[in-house]
Amino acid sequence: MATIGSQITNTLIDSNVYDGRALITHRTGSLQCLRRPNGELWAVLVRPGGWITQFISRDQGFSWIRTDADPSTTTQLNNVNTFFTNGPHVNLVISEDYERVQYIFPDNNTTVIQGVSIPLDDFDNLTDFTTTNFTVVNTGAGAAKEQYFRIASNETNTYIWYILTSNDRPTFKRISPRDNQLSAATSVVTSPVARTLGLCVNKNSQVDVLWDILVSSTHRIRHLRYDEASNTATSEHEIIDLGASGAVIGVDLDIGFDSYGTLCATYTAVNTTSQQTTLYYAISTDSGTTWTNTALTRGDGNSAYVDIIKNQGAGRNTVIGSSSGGFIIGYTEKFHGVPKAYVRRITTDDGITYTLGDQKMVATHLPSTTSVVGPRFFHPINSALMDLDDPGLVRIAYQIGEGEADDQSDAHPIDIGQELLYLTAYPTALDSENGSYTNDTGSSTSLLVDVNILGAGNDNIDYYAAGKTGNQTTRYKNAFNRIGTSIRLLKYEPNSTSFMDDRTAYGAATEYEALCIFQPESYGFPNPQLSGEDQLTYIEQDIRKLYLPPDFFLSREFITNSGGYVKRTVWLCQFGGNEYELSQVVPHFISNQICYYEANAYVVGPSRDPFSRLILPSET
Amino acid sequence: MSFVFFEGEDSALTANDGATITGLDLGTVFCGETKEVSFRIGNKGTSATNFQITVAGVNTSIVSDVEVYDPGYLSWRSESTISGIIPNGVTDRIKVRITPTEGSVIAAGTFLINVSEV
Repeated sequence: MATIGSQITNTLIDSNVYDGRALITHRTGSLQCLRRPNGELWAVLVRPGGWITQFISRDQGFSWIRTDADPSTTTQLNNVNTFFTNGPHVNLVISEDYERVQYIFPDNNTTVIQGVSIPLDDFDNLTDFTTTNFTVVNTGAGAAKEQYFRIASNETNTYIWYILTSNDRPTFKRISPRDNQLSAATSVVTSPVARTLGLCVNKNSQVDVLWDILVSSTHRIRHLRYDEASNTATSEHEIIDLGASGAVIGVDLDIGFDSYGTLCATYTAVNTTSQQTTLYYAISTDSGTTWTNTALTRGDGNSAYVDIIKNQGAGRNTVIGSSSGGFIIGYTEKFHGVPKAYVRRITTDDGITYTLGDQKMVATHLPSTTSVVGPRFFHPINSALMDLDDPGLVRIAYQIGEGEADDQSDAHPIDIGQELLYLTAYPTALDSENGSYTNDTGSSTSLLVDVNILGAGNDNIDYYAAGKTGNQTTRYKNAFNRIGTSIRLLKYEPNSTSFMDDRTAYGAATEYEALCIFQPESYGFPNPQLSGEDQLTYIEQDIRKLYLPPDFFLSREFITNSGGYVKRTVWLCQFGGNEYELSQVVPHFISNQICYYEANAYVVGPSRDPFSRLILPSET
Repeated sequence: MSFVFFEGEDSALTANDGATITGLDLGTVFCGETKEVSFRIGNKGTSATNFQITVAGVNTSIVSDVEVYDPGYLSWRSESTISGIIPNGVTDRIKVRITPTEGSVIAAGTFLINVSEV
């Protein structure tokens, strides 16, 4: 079961991005979000000025470290400098074995697909190292190349597949992160293809490729498997004929595999006249030879998503495979006219029969009028799979807002959000009922025992209200009533719509009075800070214990406000002319009965502002 | 049926003295923690009797988390036998405990303590 700690680690990756294509590439996919084996989350974006920005979270999405390529100098990482109409298609590869990070992206300025390789060891920033650059291919000017190449990597190689025009044979090169040497170009597809690729590669270096091709006046989605070891490719397998005399095209192709070796392709069929879309997934249990297509049934209130910049239908399809069999697919559809991101499970018990689950919306905590587009899974690196048995543990990034310009000069910013799927799509109850039991019927030869099972003891629970009470509770309550001191307590709830990280992120205080026991002062005078040479500063050191009666629960909630800041309910108490912040609250039990709460009380002052300091979930 | 149930705290000395009950309330318990309750059995029969205590119920996930203290084995087991309770006699406290496993369904439920004469 997920812990409450991970529930709140869903902060924005970046906010106020003036680029409606920051996370997504229109009508194709990219590899921008990865999770390393050590749990680090990496997300790469391109700033509107054209330089790469890397975001890393080392605390499960709670905070994001940002590092930018130096925009003031001319480097490869600052050379993504031509505006893209479909999105600055940057791809991220991490090699743990060879300790390299690769960024691969098209550069329309110099008309190449190019890559940059930098050391992973002690990765700290995007400026303080020597890059190794490589040019994959000269694309030539013209068509939007960001739609025409995909990458996939396994433990030994990165595969870069591309088509240079809209009627070209797919070609690939591979590059090893070990020596950054590019292979010669290889083309194994015999027919010229129309557009867009989907790509994945397993640890045996078997590359599965999807593409859209126009044959006999209709578009078809086709598949081929290339085997690196034998340097051979299978014949082309047709997944679907989209028909409609060529008016329907396949876009947003993506493909993945699971632990059974089953392939799952997902794509969107778009009518280029009406912009109506049909989203599909297709399963192949025989390495791509035969496929079973399933069109996703549209839910109540759903309608086709149309890219606001291009006025073209799209689905933003993506898929992730499971190490225990099955997949999760992600896509975008409109819900009552507003674009929203969705996920669906595809489960299996035997690797043969696959069952589609219900449609689940992500980011439902956002207002219903807010657009959420382009879900992108945080994939494990290379060909690794993660266990999707608990789909709530899958982390997904999405774009909040659509933008309105195709040249990265949006008038209104968008945000890049992320969350674990159990936040809204696949929730697990943490501190409330998540099911029900059937009642037994007693008899003359049996005792009927009632029991109320609660969540884990470390959840944020009002133990008194939950009934963890008894004679011990009564005794302590009476004791507080006899010898307690009347303390005034102030509760400040965070405001979810605030963009600020200070006192203004909170509403007005709610006042309480309680009979508590306050530890006498524990200090004489503030200690001087002797290490400072220029000025003598003092450390506030008024830290005391406050004991609260068992029926006074310091209810607290964590939220991520509109500014992307994690805020927790602040409790202050007033005593002796000072205000103290109450934190690190510990409940004390005797015989499973709540007796009292113990809290640390820190005097509020310039060096301790309870409204702006970052409070970690581990701080009780 | 020739026995009755008393609360564990009932200090009755004979089966005729105690306040009989039909059920117990364990109250709230957290997953991973243990909570205990006790009861006594009064022999209303005319001969010395052995009582076998088992745990049952429709909620199998709850039942699997419940144990009965067996004084014969000096350990917690899924069942227990109390031997040689004389007519009108009362057993010592029979302890029952539940330890909900992590991930249990979080809700109010029930289980049955079945008693049979053996």
